[in-house]
Amino acid sequence: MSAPSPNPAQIPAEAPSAPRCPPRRPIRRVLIANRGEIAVRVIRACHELGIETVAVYSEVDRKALHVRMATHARCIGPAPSRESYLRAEVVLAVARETGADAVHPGYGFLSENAVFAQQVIDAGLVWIGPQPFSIQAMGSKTESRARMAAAGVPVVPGTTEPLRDEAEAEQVAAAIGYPVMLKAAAGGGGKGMRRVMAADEMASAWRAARSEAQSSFADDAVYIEKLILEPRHVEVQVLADAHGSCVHLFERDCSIQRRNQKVVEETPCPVLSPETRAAMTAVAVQAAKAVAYEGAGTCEFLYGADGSFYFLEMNTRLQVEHPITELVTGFDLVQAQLRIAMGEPLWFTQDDLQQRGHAIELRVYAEDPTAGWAPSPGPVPSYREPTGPWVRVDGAVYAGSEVPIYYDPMVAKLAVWGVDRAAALQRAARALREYRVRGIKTSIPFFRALIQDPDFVSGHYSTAFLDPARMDRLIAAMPPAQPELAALVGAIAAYDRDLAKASQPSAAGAAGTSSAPSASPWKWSLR
Amino acid sequence: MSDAPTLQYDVSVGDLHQRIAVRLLRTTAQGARVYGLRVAGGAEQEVEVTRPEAVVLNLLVGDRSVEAGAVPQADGFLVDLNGLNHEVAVVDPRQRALRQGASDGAAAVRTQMPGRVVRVLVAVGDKVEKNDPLVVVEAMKMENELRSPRAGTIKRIAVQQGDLVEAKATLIELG
Repeated sequence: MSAPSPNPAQIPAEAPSAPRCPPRRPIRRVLIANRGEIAVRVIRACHELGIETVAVYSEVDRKALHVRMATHARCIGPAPSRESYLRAEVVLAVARETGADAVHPGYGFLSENAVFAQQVIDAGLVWIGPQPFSIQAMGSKTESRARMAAAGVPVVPGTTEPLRDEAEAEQVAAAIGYPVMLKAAAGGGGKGMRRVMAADEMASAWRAARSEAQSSFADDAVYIEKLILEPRHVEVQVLADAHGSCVHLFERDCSIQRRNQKVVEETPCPVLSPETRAAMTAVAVQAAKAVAYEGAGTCEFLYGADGSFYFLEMNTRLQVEHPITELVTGFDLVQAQLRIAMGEPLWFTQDDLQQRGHAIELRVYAEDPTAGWAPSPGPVPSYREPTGPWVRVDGAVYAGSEVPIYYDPMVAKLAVWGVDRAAALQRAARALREYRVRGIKTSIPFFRALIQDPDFVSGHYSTAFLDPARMDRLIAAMPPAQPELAALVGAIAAYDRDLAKASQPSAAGAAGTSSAPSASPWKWSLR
Repeated sequence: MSDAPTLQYDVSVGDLHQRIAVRLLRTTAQGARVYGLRVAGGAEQEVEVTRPEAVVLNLLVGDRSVEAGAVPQADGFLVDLNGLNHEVAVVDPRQRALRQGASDGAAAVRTQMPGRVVRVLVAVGDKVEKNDPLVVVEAMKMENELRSPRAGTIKRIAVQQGDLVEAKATLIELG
């Protein structure tokens, strides 16, 4: 491996005043700086476009699907991410050594690392993503909100500076409108936060927030934000070329979350009016243009029950949930990323894009819903994916693969399309029923309960949907256990195992397997 | 085939504990095996079984078709029925007798998930109360604390910090 570049990457501080308009430049071999399902997804798009692929892998990922599918592969270090997938200098060196002319970062890992993006560009390679300036500008939540506010994009109203006294708190609250939230400036974890539903609650909330902030953080500074009631998380997919054109590919509703992690996504958002959709998508394009965005990106919004919406942040990469957008638009986002990176101007206009039907994605996590969502990594000796009409699985699991303990527990994404929402729900139920991941526990049985929940079926839900009470209800509504039948299966499986051992008295020893012949006393009695 | 032995198993699934006697009755013309199963000394029922995959059984119970996964585990099988996993512990009664002779009432603290031992919070000889944290195991960026199932004294610690452990591995023995 060659040494890292001695010069730190220089990232311009201001948005370029004009589009880059780069010359067309073919890509022949892409290094994918990622693993798992997203590496597989990128490999597919590359191979469709006749582009070769370089997989990188950690020592525990030698058998991983992305390594098997790529045209080239190179080990980049030990299992922990910081010793392999996060080592920018090693990834860069491998890109040079394997003759890659472009790098696709996927999501997570190095995908939103502006310094890495700049290093890729400085090395003379194509970075398949936005320019480092755009990544940086959207990288910090507070900075990007200030920038967006300046560009006329709606952000959650409030102060970012601490309030002087109660009088100022009342004044600001009246200006932005109740309900509001008082938040400890030094805060986090819900401490020093108080809801204020109306003016007459301000005095006591002010005292409580201040004293809690003081006792929790030794700092009684408090600021104020408008409280969005029962918010939904709605995001807009954008796509921009390097020649100044930008389009949106409609929205995705990602309100179903557990511990701030998205679990289920759908498009269209079941409660968005055409007027709000038009306004929100226009704002997303405006936000992308404000940072001279290139490639695929996503603007996240809080969408209030009253129809208001506010910019949260922009994800400057491909999103996990991009397949549902592909299903309703018929448009391949990863292919688009590649073509834009090659300098191609957008080959279609906004009017060419339509939302057709309805798509739902369910994220399959290797976690046990019945055991407090404990991680459930391990070997998967048997695996059957749902297929059939309008069912898509983006995964990296196969029979004989292993889910390592080192990485994200999301192992696959099940996405379905239906001509309308009801059809998509029926299809999701059928696909979940077909899905078998054996040897580990997953969120699949939980989803079978979730997609029958009346509030989910109605489409009227918020980010608070998966509260503890509903979680308990859904776990109780999972397909019922069949202990008597399971016991019979266990007995038959044990019988087959013991009979096989007994009929091959020397096999265990000769094959050097770890199961000692003495493990079953039946062997002796059957001789 | 009629000379195949009858074997007995003590099978536990959650709160269900049953002794099940199994014998292979015959093999059908299509290559399926027919077993006779007797639960807790009851009437024998016949089940026809094929193995479409090494860890997958397709059972015909009368006209009913049931697909089941049966993935071997340390103490039995992880059985999935209709996509739902069941931890099935299988012990044959003769082994249980041997095992009980060897252990003198010590309780094994096992991990449910494979992972890496982040911290060992106790030492041999420590007295612990029920629910005291003993070991922290990490997997997929989540830390899980293993707690003591009862009050007692730490008799043996089978792991140290940094060790990789399999699911169901014994980490600590409690005296």
